[in-house]
Amino acid sequence: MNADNLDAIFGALADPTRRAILARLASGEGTVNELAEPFAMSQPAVSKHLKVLERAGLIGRARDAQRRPCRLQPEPLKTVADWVAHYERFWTESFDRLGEYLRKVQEEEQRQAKETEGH
Amino acid sequence: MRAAVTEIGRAQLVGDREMAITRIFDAPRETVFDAWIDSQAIGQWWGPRGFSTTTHSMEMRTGGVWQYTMHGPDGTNYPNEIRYESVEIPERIIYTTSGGREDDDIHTHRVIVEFRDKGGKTEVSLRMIFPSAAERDEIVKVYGALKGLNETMDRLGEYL
Repeated sequence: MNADNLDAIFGALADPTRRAILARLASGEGTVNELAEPFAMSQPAVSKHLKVLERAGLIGRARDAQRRPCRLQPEPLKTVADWVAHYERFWTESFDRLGEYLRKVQEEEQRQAKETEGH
Repeated sequence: MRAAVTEIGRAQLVGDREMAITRIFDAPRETVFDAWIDSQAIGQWWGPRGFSTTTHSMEMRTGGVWQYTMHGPDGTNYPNEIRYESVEIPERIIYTTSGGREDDDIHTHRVIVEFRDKGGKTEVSLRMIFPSAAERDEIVKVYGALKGLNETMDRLGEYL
């Protein structure tokens, strides 16, 4: 995989509609018609998104001449997923720990305030 | 026990060169901000679970630097450096982070952290911005390579 491929993958993933199309394809293949339905979009608009996804290698089109259903090709996603997972973990877990730290600090403050009242 | 976090936000990819995470913490803005600017405090929560942080020096002001080492659960040390581009108490911190070693340049990125008062609670929004698509691609390649290497070492370990 080269840098151009990765740019194509990130470019494809940058759009929420295309991410939604991928999520839909994760549950099974679909024709352009079927994919257009939930997005209230014209068929040509959806076709345009599908072309971007196809260029990025994220979907493939079956040779079935009548329906030409699209299917997900998840392999390129793995590279991106690894990168995202690294930082996703860093920040999600740091924020979890920050929440725990703040709770501890506030409980300590409350305890001290109570002690002061008692005296 | 009262939960300090009222809304669980996970980090996610936004656009083609950003990651973002937003969360509401059940603590006043000053308390939350303090947890970022006090070297004792930040060391208690910075990094993924199992990591600890040693601060070598911290100048928490616009133009200041934080030098620290993260210690991984397997004993690996990760030297790091953060340069504070802007520190606006208690609203916003902008910094650039890089690995402390020369060969760690690919991890350089800019972070914008904003603190908003939400009626006694605090919303923290963090955005991680990579300088260019090319740099991000480098990160993907190197990160992928490292992961591959780790897997190879794991398999070798099993074999031995």
